[in-house]
Amino acid sequence: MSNEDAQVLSRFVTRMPEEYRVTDTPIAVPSRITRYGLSEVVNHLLALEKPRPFDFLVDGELIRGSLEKFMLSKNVSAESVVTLEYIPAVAPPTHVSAGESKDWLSAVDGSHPNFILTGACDGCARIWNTQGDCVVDFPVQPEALTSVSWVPGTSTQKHGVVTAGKDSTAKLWEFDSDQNSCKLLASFTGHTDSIEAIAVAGDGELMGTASWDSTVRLWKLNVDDSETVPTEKKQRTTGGASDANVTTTSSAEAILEGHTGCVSALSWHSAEEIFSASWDRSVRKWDANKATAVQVFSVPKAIHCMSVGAQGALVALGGAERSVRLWDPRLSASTTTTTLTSHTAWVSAVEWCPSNSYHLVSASFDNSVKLWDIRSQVPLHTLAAHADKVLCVDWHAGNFIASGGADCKLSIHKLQH
Amino acid sequence: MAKRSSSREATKAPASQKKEDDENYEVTELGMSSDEEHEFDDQEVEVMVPPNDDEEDEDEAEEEQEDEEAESDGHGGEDESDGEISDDVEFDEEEGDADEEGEEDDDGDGEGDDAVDDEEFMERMLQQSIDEDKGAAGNEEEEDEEGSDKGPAMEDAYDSQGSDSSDDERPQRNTVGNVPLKWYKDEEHIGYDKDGKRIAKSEKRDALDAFLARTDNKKEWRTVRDEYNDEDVVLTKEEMEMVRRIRRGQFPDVNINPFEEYVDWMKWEDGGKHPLSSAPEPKRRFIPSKSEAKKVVKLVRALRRGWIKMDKPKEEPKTYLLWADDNQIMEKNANGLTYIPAPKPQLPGHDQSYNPSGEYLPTEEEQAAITMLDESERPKFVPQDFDSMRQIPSYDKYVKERFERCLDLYLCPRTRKKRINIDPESLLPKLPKPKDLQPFPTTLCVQYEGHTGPVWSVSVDPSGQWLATGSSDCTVRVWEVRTGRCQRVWRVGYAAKCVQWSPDPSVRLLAVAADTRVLLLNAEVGGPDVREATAKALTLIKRESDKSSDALAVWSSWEGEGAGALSKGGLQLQQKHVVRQLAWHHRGDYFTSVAPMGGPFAVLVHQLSKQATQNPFRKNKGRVLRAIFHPSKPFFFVATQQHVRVYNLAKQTLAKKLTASVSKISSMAIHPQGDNLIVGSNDNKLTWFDMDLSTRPYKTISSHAHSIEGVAFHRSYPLFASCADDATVHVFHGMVYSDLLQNPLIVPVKILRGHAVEDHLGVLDCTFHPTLPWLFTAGADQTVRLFCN
Repeated sequence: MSNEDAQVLSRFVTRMPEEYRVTDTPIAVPSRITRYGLSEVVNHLLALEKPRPFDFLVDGELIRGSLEKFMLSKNVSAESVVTLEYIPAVAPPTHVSAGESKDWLSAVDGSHPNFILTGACDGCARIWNTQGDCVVDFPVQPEALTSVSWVPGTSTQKHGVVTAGKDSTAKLWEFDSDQNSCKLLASFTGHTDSIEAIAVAGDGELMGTASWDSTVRLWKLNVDDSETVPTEKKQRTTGGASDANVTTTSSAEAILEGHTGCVSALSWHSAEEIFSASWDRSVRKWDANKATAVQVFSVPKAIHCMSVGAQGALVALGGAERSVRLWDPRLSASTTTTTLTSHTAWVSAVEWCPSNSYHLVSASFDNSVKLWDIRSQVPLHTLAAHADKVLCVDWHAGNFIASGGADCKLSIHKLQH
Repeated sequence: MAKRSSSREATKAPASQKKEDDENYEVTELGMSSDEEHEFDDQEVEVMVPPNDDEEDEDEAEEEQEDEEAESDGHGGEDESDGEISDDVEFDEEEGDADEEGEEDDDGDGEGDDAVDDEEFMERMLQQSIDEDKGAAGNEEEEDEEGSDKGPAMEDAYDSQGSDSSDDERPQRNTVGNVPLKWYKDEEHIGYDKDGKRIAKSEKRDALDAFLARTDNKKEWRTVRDEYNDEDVVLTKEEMEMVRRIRRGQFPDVNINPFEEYVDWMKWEDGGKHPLSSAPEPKRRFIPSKSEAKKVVKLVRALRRGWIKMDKPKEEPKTYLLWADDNQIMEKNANGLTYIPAPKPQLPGHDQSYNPSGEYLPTEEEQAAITMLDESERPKFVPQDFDSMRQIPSYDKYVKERFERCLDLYLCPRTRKKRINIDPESLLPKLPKPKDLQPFPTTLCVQYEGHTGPVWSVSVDPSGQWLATGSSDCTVRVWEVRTGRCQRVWRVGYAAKCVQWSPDPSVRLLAVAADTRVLLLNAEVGGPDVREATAKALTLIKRESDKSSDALAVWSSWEGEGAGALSKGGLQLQQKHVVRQLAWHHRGDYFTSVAPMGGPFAVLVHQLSKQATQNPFRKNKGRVLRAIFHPSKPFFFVATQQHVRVYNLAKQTLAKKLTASVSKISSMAIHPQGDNLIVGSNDNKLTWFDMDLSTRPYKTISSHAHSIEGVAFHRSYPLFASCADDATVHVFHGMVYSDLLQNPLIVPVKILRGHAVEDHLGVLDCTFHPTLPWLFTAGADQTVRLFCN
């Protein structure tokens, strides 16, 4: 074969710190070299004490397989100098710990730097630490929980928690990390069917709930001062464990109507903008102040989960199909930009990495959690942590992946950066 | 004639001298007249009398005369023998000698006797000339050559020709009658006169006499011999003239003018002004002919229909395929012939040459391989090399191959088969491809596991969030559709054969058929308002006078034996018969229960709000198997074994009776628009009724291998499905058009497999998701599956 010894002139560049830079001179590398070979080359050039794996990008796409194959598929001439940008490779996530739940874990939120919040089908919310130990286990409702979320921007000891479930009420709790106790602060009623998703805006002011009654309701959270909850109907009930007053709010700040099916996912983009995804195969972007739909985007299948990227760049959608769709709401064309196909069953959860805008984690009914770099169509890593359907997944503390599923386990993986 | 008579008289005398005199006289006459003849006719000179010929004849005649004398000696002996043979003529012998010679003449002139006399010569000459001129007078020649067998008749003919005028005048001298003269050859008489005396033959002249007569008798040249009457006839001048005319080809009679003026009898003197007949012109001359018109019509029609073609006939190709196969040639030439030539055996190629090129010859290894092969596997012919044709041995397989060839030809019937090349695909109706009919359920997505017995019934709640199943393990379960989590379990005590969600969106309650009871369960799902409404609906209304013996069904509250505190129970309707099926009215207030063994109480309609039960039919025709409500109108469908009866509930009449022509109806579903009904049956048939069209099936689909257990329509998509005991679910595209003229379009789109057959049961029930093109199937393999698009 003539390609046996074909060589490609490559220039290695990086955005990493100075000590990881190599010479600008193009280096001839065999065209059949793979990522591992390239990584060895760079390591050799760097002469690091401890070799470091690198991933390589050409024109913003990760190299998977050999360089030759990649260039053929991208129609890059082998005679020109190829600029290879190298980035630190993502090592396979290591399994850190697994927490046992009593029932299926249907929701997980790892946005708190120290704790992981989960909701289970038995109606109990649990708060775990990173080591997989259950800190607090508090019954929320007799029905299954479908969504839980931390309320951001609270103090170091007292953390707000919102839960929602099949009993169509959302509840606001206060978690005291010192005492490891939870206190119900308020409940929000109004939905006529079970709530599927709950999301709290970045400033902690507004909470959105998405329900089977095809509506999205926005509620105002007043965690610090429950007395000033501006509601018309205030019902005072006595809390079970604590003597604190529990506010029941039945009137929502806004009702976003427009979906024709179950609204299954909800995600804040900014304090004013909220995305909702529905079984009616549409994604809507709402203006929270005006309570109107700004943008509507349709996909061919029902959507079960959604995650909006950090800068609102990309919306990842998972649903009643085997792939994750990426949609750029900034584009006028209402087509999905990328489809990430690797799962063999429904995708039950997707979540963008808060620390790396390229990374995405997805959970599926095929018992697997996959870590994607959207610069490549192939998943970076597949975590086979569960023995049954994975129902929820989230990032925790930047480099942990927490996932829960029908095997009642909270599985925590650590990602080495 | 006077001369003749004189000669006759002379011949009466036995003396030959007189006769000779006569002949001489005649000869002289002949000589004289010959000159005359020469004078008036030059043409005949050549033919008539070449003098040299005469001399030669004479010479010959002399010689032959001697012969004749010698013969005549022997004749006496012959006569004796003749006399011995025929006693009849014995008395004639005395005069026999005189006739002998004459007889001789008759016998054979070919031998050249002295009969080469002038008479005969003249005759011959005459005949020759006649033959030459006319070619029509063969009779005389025959007469001469064949002798006297036909003598008398021919002579008669001659006489009549020669002297037809004298026939009447002169009586026949010969009286023997019309018998061959040969019989009288040896006799001396030729008959008897009226006195009974013999009429003697005239004496035979010898050559000398003839010669003398020719020289003497001037009339000899025109004297002919009448053999029959045994006399010489001198032709008159008129007769000679007649002979001459005949020879020229003219009419014998001088008076006949062959070139008479032609008289045109049909020519009209006035130029055809007046026809021959004075009859008026017939009418038909003036009206067009009908028969001709008919003929014209026929021709025109034939032209129009192309029976008569005005095109030029096809030109036969002047060239032909020299090297083509016989088959090709036959195909072109034999138009419609049934004969099919036998295929020709292949011609020998280079490899079958006695001295083939080296590449055809097998190498030693190949040769060895061939010999290693089994007899049957060996190639039929292995190329061999010979130096000359002389060394080629006889082909050992000749007889065998010839026999096999004959056997092939004999055993292979060569008949012309009329094959119609129709693409079977083209006969099928053009159906859209399933690809274009998406979405429809294709892949298994969620499996709901937890039942421990065959799942008999599956139902989705109106929102599409919850799934209820009833199973033989005596439990009713509610599942979350998306995750497949079992949310509720009720132990109902009996196999739950039918589970139906109430279509009322304000409540979430389940109707369950378990043995003889119908349970109404609060599913405890949904929002608080829904739960409240459900709980309220399921509160038992207390009544004072409930006589359970009379009541069709006893309403009572049912305390759940469910797992966990959630299943609180609901209402219970105790019936007398095993309830097999339940169906809700679309408003969710009424529901019907079907107990096939119930007889007159098979179909009961229950009202939830009043908690009352009524029996709409006093008598049921046949065993009722299924009953459903119309999705919008007050119609009620009752399926018995083979018929579906449609009742108008408002008018309380039988509206229609649909005949499914199947063995036993097993399931029934109605299109959401209400005009189409599908019926599944135990004999594997799925029947589609277009109720606007007919009471007979619009389409019958026999795609399943075993009996159909359940059928379902999608509420919004044009989809329907059937599930059967062959563990498959067939999904069809069933588009119903709002245009009444357009028939529903039914396209099979997908066969869903995955369920297992257990105890001869496959998929027991199927139902569609209310909003999405998803299909739920309940199998006997204890699983419930969700198939998605």
